[in-house]
Amino acid sequence: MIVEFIAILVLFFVGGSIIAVYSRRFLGAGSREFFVGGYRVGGFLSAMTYAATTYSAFMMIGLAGLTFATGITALGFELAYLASTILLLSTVGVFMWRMARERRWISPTDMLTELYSSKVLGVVIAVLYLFALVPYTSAQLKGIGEIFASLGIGFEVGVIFAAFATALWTIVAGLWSVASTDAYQGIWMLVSSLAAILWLYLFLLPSNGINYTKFVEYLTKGQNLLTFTWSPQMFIGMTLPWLFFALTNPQVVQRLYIPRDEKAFRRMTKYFSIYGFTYTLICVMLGLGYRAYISGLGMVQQFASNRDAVAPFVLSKAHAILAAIVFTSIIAAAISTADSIVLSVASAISREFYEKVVASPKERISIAISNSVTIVMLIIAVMFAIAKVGYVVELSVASSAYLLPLAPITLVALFKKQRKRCWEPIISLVLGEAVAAYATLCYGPAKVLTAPMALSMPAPVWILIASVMPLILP
Amino acid sequence: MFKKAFKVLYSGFSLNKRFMVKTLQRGAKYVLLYLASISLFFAPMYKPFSDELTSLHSFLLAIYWCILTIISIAIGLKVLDKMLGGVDK
Repeated sequence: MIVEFIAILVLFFVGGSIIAVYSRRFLGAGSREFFVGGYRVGGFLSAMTYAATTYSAFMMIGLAGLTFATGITALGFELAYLASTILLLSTVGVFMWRMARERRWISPTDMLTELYSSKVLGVVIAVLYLFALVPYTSAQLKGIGEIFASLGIGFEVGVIFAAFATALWTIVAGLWSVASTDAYQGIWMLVSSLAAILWLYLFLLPSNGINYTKFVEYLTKGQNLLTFTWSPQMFIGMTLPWLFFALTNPQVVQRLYIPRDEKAFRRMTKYFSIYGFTYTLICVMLGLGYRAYISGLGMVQQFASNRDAVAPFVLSKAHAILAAIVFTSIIAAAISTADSIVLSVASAISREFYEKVVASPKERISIAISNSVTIVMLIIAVMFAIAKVGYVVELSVASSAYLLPLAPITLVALFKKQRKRCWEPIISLVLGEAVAAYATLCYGPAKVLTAPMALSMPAPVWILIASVMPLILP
Repeated sequence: MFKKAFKVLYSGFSLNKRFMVKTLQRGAKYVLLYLASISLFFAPMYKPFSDELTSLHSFLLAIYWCILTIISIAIGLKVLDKMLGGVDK
């Protein structure tokens, strides 16, 4: 199994590296080319990079594990995100795309800095990105480490390999290498998840005597996992930050700048919706299948405290080559998310701390700063991953909670007709982050989203209320 | 040359302004559509509703969320066509 996995992984890495190097042919001169592809990326590539950036290792490990442990409610949580994202892309997204091209925005901080006429705001948001997205990036590396550990190769080896591939594919050609390897990885993710679900439902479950009746019985015996099993606090707390993910996370906001024309933007939205719906269904069905299989073996309790280990355990029962392809697809999902995050955060840091500070910035130095930030950020993420803090799912979603206060200020910036005061978004951010920090201190990072606070409402509701207040008060 | 540059700049500005005005006019409708679509995802939090769905068919809750998503995507793509068509027409 180890031999097959290493062979497939080498194939994947070499293929991705060839694509990354080839993509340099499209890279023009200047930081706009490096960070947003010169606003001339096609619809298919835009859609694939949007999908691969959004869907991370969380899907095949975290979401499948969450479904395994808590049932079908995870589908509602994930589909609510998808529906919200498509509706936002179709409305607010069009605004952002048009304005980004007209005003030559590169980083998401450019948008808020310009619309609020506040340089301080840009700096604050760039620091916030750095703070909130290191856990998200480390969650991706941790996911890869788990796969390596389950195969007996070593957790740390997996984390370091992931960080190396992420750095390489980001630095080679910026957005062009990230987007083209994202497309490659996105295809790998979808095809292998399809192969996994076919194997699970057409081979593993039937060969273990689990037919439809038995399947439903295993899922409904004891606690019915096919009905709504989460507490309202958990559902609201987990879902709310994800509803605004398309507006708050810089790696996806920056994706809205890149389509070359209206046709490309339309295609991006359409293809992403198809991809997102299919991939979500597959991952949730995998989780339910894992539950039925593990119930049949009578091993549910063994995974009660480590649900992220379910997917690697079940997939290791597949043929070595299939298992290796699926494990590699999880690695692809993690790397495609991590490289987009580091590129977008690095672009924000480079813009706010160099290009807007220096009188006549040189684009070559701007790219060098971005590459340095990429490497430093990945080193911190590696250290965080090796410390093994929390579950992949909680880590990913907790980052979104810290970015949640950006949703109201983005919407107000785009749509408020009156003159916008520059102190309003800063107070909004401070209040929102204060609530998030308070919730983290009280309940810990793993429970920051789901623990009930005042009036039994979870923290994200209060984060949103706190950050909206300064913007709507006269 | 300056006259030409001004003309290009002005046409870009008025195009964007027209687009902004049109979109803001439609804004309330879009906000309502968004709130209605997304609220329905939270309806199963009301236990009797989700239990009723599951009692009718084991997978009806999953089907409910899938249909809701497909409808939201269809609405989104239709709105997108209007938004992108807004300037061309």
